[in-house]
This record gives sequence, structure tokens and C-alpha cells, in this order.
Amino acid sequence: MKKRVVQVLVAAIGVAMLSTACVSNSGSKGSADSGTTDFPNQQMNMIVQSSAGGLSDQISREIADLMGKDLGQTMVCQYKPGGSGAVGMSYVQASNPDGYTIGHTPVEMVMLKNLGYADLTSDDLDCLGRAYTTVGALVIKAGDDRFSTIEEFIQYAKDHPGEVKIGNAGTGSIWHLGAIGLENAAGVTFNHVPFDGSSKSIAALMGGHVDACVAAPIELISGVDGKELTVLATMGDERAEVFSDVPTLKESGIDYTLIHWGGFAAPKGLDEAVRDKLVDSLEKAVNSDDFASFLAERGMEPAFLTGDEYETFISGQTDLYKNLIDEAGLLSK
Amino acid sequence: MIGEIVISGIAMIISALAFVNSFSFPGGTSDGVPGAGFFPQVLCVVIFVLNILVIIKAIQKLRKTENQRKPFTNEQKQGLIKIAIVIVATIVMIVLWGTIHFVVICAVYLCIIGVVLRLDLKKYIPGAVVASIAIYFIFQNLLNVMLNN
Amino acid sequence: MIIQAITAVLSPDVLLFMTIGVVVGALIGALPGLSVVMAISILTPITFSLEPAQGLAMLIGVYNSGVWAGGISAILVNTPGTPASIMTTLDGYAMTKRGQAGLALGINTIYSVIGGIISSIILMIAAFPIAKFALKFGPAEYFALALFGLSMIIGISEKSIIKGIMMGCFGFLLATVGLDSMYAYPRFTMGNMDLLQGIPYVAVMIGLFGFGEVLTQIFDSSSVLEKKEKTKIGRILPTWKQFRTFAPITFICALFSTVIGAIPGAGGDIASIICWDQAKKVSKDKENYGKGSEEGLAVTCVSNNGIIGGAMTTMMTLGIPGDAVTAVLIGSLMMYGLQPGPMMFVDDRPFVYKIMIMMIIANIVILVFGLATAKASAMLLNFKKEYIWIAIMILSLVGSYAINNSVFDVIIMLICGVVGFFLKRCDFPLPPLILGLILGSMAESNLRRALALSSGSFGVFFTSPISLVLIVFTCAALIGPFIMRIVKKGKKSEVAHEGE
Repeated sequence: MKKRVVQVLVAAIGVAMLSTACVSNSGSKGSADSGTTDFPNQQMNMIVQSSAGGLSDQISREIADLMGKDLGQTMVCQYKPGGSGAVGMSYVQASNPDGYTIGHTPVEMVMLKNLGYADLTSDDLDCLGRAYTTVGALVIKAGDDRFSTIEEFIQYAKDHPGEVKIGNAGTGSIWHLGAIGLENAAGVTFNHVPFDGSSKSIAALMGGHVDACVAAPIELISGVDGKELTVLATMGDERAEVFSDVPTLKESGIDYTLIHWGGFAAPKGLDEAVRDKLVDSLEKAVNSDDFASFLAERGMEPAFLTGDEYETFISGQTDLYKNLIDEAGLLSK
Repeated sequence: MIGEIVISGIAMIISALAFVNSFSFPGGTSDGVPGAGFFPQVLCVVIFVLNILVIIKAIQKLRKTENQRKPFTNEQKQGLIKIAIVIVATIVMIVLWGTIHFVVICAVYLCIIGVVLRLDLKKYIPGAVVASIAIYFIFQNLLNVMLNN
Repeated sequence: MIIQAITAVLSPDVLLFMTIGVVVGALIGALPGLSVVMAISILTPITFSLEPAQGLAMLIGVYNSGVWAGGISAILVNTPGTPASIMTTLDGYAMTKRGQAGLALGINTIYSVIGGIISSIILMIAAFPIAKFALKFGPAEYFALALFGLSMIIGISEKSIIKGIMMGCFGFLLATVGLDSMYAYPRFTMGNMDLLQGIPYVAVMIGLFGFGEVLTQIFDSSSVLEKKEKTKIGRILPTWKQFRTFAPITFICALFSTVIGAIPGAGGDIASIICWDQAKKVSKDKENYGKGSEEGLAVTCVSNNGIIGGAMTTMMTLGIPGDAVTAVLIGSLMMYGLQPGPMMFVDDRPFVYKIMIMMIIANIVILVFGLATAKASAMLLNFKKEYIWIAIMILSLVGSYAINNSVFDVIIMLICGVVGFFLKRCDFPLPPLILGLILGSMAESNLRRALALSSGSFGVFFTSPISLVLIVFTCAALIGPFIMRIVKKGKKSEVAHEGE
């Protein structure tokens, strides 16, 4: 008797779950043919090209949240880490271009092919728009008695060629290439030491194992507030809001800028109306107050860019990094 | 013991291939920092040498017990067939993953395993279907794992 | 202020969300492939609708209980639920086979909680000194630490040291697959993009210990006569005498693993590997380590939960994640409007106290929940074993997929399962393989990084006191057994050759 009841119960639960599963499934089939008028009518996917917890994850989640609210659907973040984002971005490229899958495409997008990680360029994706920028910052351990300003630092590096140890987030990462660009612009040579990610290189800086690091402000804010780190210069065109009393490289007479940026992209072949809706929604999300304050806390700026302007920007960045990658001896044929 | 020799042989082949392959990696700098190929090369040599030792020991043992060994008992053969079916079924499942709906392949897979393990199918098959649906539901909807795409 | 924090944390709503967190963490932690990182990233958005204290209580509950629950599946079915519980399989599963599943689960719960509480207390009293010490770990020290961990390959090589070292080296070789950490050169990837980030060791672990174990059992079941016999569960609580014997060694392990946890990038797997091996060397019970020693189990459980306080220390005092979970937690704290880092201790002092109190209370909740459910979890073993096999197989498949949402990981898992089956049949020990895989990349990249920093001079490994001490210990660990053996042989030359 009791067994019967359990069996019936299990069957009932099964049927209930099956029907839920079918509903969500039939939804996906329906939307593909029914055109765009009711886009979006089911859950959407945001492909994050890194693992959970990093900057990419936080930004993608925030944008997914804001866009989801705007479009009236939930947008779920899915993580596809690996190969500096190559896995995730290639996944977006290969996805069904129905508008239900978009992905986060940070600056690495323009480097993947030249680094030889994936045969993928910005032309293989439908780049919807840029969402944010953040400047590079040159940072040293607080209380370093050899240098306390950017001028002293460059002078020291000139006097000791190849001796200043610069930590970065990994060979071929933007901060490694950025430091190479700085070498060129300032006419110095550093000893580049790659770590497994920014946080490890900053820990090594705090522990005095390297002399300086190039990193994004978000990684530095708490260390600077706690007087563990000193930012010597930021690398934007203008001073960064979080470190407003720190000069830019340009102010210090070094003509060099380095910004990290990121946008969002969909697979090629979107329906025009769907694309417009996505771009429109992304623009609203990026320009919202929520996003602005979200980024401000993290030392970044919202910077929406789309269409031709974005394309020009991307091609400029592609060339810039191609040169730097070549300089680093990493260019793949 | 024959198994040991086969495994060691395979490990030796892999390490030899890796050893040759690692010479194409970028080398170290002039001041003595080892390059990308250094560790793989050292490891390959160590693995190769250790496997020679393993094989020598295995052959020694084989000689001692030469006459009293039979390759496989009947029951072991049966066991091998069972796990071969399981492995093939798993391979088929992985190949089909993503092309057919997860609930379907999972249910079919579970049923095949049930047959292999000689379970009471009258009770088992409904359970397998319910379990596949439950797994799909939990992973897809609660844990955001895209089992199906 | 502390009393205020305690009363705030002890409010019913906070306790409720903490209990929810503990239950969710237990479920996710016990399933192989589903990680605590994943649980926290999924739950963080949900917690936004709550007050910061409630949300954080939930996340801390998940963190502590996820690490603890990884040991449950390690004990019951020999499949570590999280990488940190890899060592728990050695003694835990052996105890289950001996019919002491209940006691193993009880020890897992009690000692995980002890580890968690001791490390939380250390976090409260010595956060800044420990963080400062952790920063002393540069590339040279990391290399020495990894080497120290690798030296225990000898300790877990079971019957044949040659085979053990061979497997360890093979794991190390597998660890070199993927983008080289210094030059970013793709090694042994054969043009495969999925291999760029290396061989996922969680998938390897699930394959070797989960899927492979099931294949072994299916194979054996055909030759061994069926004898339906209820698996004994036994009692749950260790005796007072056991508790007293374990006290000194577990306490030292908790302190040690707190420090390991504070070092960025060194987590529960390394802590429990090192603690188990060192405890084995000094223990009176060393013969039984790896064969179902209660003390060995207690040591691993203390150390994998003991890292939590350490990882939280680095995160809260420096704003640098101590492990993968705290990397996600930093993001969650920022979502609550907090900035983890030195200033948090000044600006948000009350909240810092709350976090510390929550850590302790979460462990108490785990203790109650864990002991209450230990019998029920152990009952799982009384299911027909075919059902358990099927459950492990399907969870291995889905779990390895869940690591990165990638079928590639499932393929790796299957390959490792099949290979693991054959290796096991031929008496090649599996734990050294995992050890080489986990510690290999840490050893290699840090050796090369240290030499790049020192322009090729090996002196760095001996001028730093921390790395010197670690290297001396490593040498002792490597040479010690051989000297012991020679001494033994000298005394009793007729003892049979024990190499095989």
C-alpha cells in the first residue's frame, strides 16, 4: 500500500517536471520561426568568457540583469572559461543567431587570433556595442624608497635597464602588452614577470617580490585606500576618477595611453529587428544610473559605442595590439 | 602482470612522443631560466626510465609464476563484456550530447545500464525516466547548467 | 561591539538564512563537479533581495558547509565532492568498506567544524599578522611549498614506490598541457582550444575515483559471489579517548592550514595533502594511514575546513582572494557596497565582527545538521549497489559537464575513468597522479618565475628562510624512508624484499 503511494507520488512529480521541461523547450522552438515581433519570449543566455568571480563576471551579471529587466526576460550567465576567453567567444560565434545568446567580449577579442589561441576576430562576431572602459595604472608598493613619483620611477628604470621587475597578469595579457608599450614610449627596459592573474601579481607586489605592476584600478582600490600600494600614474587620456590626484602618463610627458575595454557581441546573422532591440537595450543598460554607480565603485567608466564608431575603434585596437604582440615575440603566423 | 607491461609500454610511448614534441617549445633565456620545454623533457626521461624498471620487475615476476597463470576466468570475461558495453554506451551518449534532448539520451542511457546490470526492468524503466527528468530539471533550472543547447 | 555583533547575528532571520545556506552547500558540496564557487555565484543574485547580514549569512553557510560536504561523497562512494576532499577518500572510504561509515561521517563533521572554528578564531585574533606572513610567499616560496607537497607522493604510493613516482611524474606531465604559464606557448594542445587552459583536474578526479571505481566494482561483482549483506553503519561519534588522542595533531593541522589558506592560490587540497603526510610521519598510528585510520581522516577534515579562515583573512585584510571561493565572495561583498581590504576594518568594523561571528555560528549549524543527518546519509549505502553505481555514473557525467558547461570535460572524465580502471587492476596507485596534476603547474611556473626574478640564480631558494625550511623538510621526507629502510635491512636482512 505504502509502496503504491510512493510510486504514484514519484510519477506525479515526474509528470510535473516533464511538463515544465517541455514548456521551456517548446518555447525555444516556437521563437525561432515566429520572427521578431515578440522577441524575446523566453530565457536568454549571457556567455561569460571567464570563470565566476572576476571582473568579467561581475560586469556581465550586472548588464545581464539590466538588459533582462529592460527586455522583460531573465538573462542567465553561463561560464565558458579558457584560453584567455577564446573558448567563450568561439562558443558565442557558433551559437544560434536567434538573439537569445549574447556574450561578453573584452579587449582580448582583438588579440586572440594574433596570439594564436583561436581563429577568431571581431569580424566573426556581431559586435553589438562597447560598454565600459577602464584605464591601466602603474602601481608600486607604498613607501618604496627608490621612487615615489612617475618621473623618479622612469629615471630609475633608465639607470637600471632590465632590473625593474614588473608583474603582470600573464604573458600576452593586456597588462603585459601594456607594460611593453610603456617601455617603448618611455625608452626603458623592464624585466617582465608573468603571474597567474592580476590578484597574484598584486599580492607579489605587496610582498615586495616585484617592483611594480600594471593593473586595473578595481584591483588596486582597496590596497591604495589601505596605504599598501601607491599608484604612480594612470594611462588614460584624462585622470581617472578613482585616483583623481594621480597624474596621467601624458601629463608626465610620456605620450602613451592604455585602456582596457569590453563590450557585448552576438553570433553573426541576427535578424535586423532583433539586433536593433538588443543594441537599444544594451545602450539603455550602459547609460543607466545603476550601471554608472556600479562602475564608479570599481574605478571604471561606462562608455557606450556602437555601429561604425565601434568598428573604427576595434580596428584601431586590433592594430595597436598586433604591434605589441609582435613586439613581445608572441605573434602567431 | 601482462597488463603492467602493456600500461608501462604505452606510458613509454607517450613520454617518448612528448619528449620529441617538447623540443619545438620556446627555449630558456641566456641567463639560465628554463624554457617551456625543460620540465616536460625532464619528466619524460624520468617516466621512461621508471617504466623500464616496472617492466623488468613485471617480467621477473612473470617468469616465477609462468605455469600457474590463466589469462581470464569466465566470470572475468563476463565482467569485461559488461564494462565494455557501459563504456560504449557512455561514448554514444557523449557523441549525441547536444544533438538530441538531454532527457531522452539520459533515459536511454540509464535503461541500457539497467539491462547490463540485470535489474528488474518493470520497476527500473519508469524510475530511469523520472530520474532523467529530475536531473535535467535540477541542473538546467536550479543550477543554471546548460545540459541542452 | 562584539556583543552587539553576536546579538545581531543570533537573530532568527539571520539564523534561518544561514541554515538554508548550510543545507544548499551540503547538497552542492556532496555532488562531485558542483563546486562551492558555483553555489555562491548562483546564490549571490538571490541574496540581493535580502539584507546584507542575511545574504552574507547564507553565503558563509554555503562556503563552510560545501567544503565539509565534499567529504561525505568521498567517504561513502570514494568520489571527492570537491578537490579539497581528495585526501578524505584515502581513509574515509577505507573506513566505509570496513563497516564504519557512520563513524567516518561523524569524524568528518566534528573535525571539519573544529577546523572551521579554530581558523575563524585565528581570523579574529591575528588577521593582520597572518596576512603579512602570507605576503612573504613569493615565487621561490611557492615552489618550495609545491615541492614539499609533491614529496608526499612517496607516502601515498601504496605497494610500489617506483610505480607511485612514475604516476606522480605522469600527473606532472599532464599538468604541463595547455598554455605555458611563462611564455603563453600552447604545449601539447594539438590545436585543441579546450586544452589551452590545461587538463581540468576536477574532471580527472571524477573520472579516476568516481567512474573508474564503478567500473572496477561492476567488473568485480561478476567474479565475486553475490552475498547480500547490509552495510554496517556503526556508531557516529568517536570515543572520548580517540578525541583526546587526536587533539594535539588536529590542533596543529588547523593552525597550519589556516596559514596555507591565507596564501593566495594555495587551498584546501594542498593543505590536506601536506597535513596528512606530516601527520602520518609523526603519528603512532602511521601503519594505518591510508587504510582507514580515524586519525588520518580527522587530520584531512580539519585541514580542508581550516583553510577557510585563512582564505577569509587574506580577502578581508588585503582585498586579495585567498582561493577561488573568496574571489567570488569579494564580488558579492562589493555588491553589498563593501570594499574588502584594509579599510574595511576601519570603516565597517561592526560588519567585520559580524562576518567573524557568522563563521563560528555557521560551523555550529553544520555540527548540528551534520550529526543529525549522518545516519541518514550513511543509509544511502543500504540501497542496492547497482543503484548506487548508476547514480555515481550519471552524476559523474553531469557533474563533469557542469564544471565548465563543456562536453570536452566529460570526454576527459570518461577517458580517465577507463584508464583508471586498468591502472587500478595493475596496481598502479592513482592518488599520486592527481597530486602531480594539482601541484605540478604550481611547482613549474613558480620555479621558472623565481628564476626569472633572480635572473637565473638558484640562490633565491636558499636565501629565503621560508623556502629554505621547506626545502630542508622536503629533502628529509625524500631521503628519510630510504635511510629507515637501510637501517631496518641491516637489522633484519632476511626480511623479504618489500619493494613490490
